[in-house]
Amino acid sequence: MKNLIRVERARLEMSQIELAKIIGVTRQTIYAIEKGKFTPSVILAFKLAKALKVDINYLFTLDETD
Amino acid sequence: MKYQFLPHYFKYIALISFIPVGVISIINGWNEAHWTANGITFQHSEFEFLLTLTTLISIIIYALAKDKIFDDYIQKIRMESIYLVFFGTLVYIGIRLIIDKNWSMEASTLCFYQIVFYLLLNKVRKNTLPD
Repeated sequence: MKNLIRVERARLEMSQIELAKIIGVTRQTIYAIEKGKFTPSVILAFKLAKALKVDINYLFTLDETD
Repeated sequence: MKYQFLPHYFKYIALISFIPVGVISIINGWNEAHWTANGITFQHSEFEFLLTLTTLISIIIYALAKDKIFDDYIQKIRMESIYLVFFGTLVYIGIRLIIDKNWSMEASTLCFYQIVFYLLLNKVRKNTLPD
């Protein structure tokens, strides 16, 4: 699954730590999601979309291999 | 998780009691194994019973204490660590039995090693993520 968290975070000038604090996860989790090492749960994906003020379908897109 | 109802600082309390008691248990076990190998048999004392009981209570407290931050990724790391410990235990038992088919080990000792290995593995895996 591809995501645009890094791009949107940069747009909002938000650090990984700031985003992690907003949604109540660790910075490692944000790092792992951005790098594609971890696919978040539906709840976490919605929280990320809300925190980054974008639509969830825009933030996450299915990869061909998914 | 719902069963984790104790405050987070109970994890530290559990670790503070678990680690020294665990080290004493290991030293005690080695001493006993050494003397048993030399033909002297030991009977389990009240002290050993207390050590085992303290270890068990510490583990239960640790398991029931809340995490500082609970999230999916930390849970994933934890599950992978548990899987690795389980797999490692099977490999270890297999190798020991190949070396010596009469080999045996106390369940509580094996459990203790598993917990220590799990705690170390979990810590290392969490800390190896880049800053």
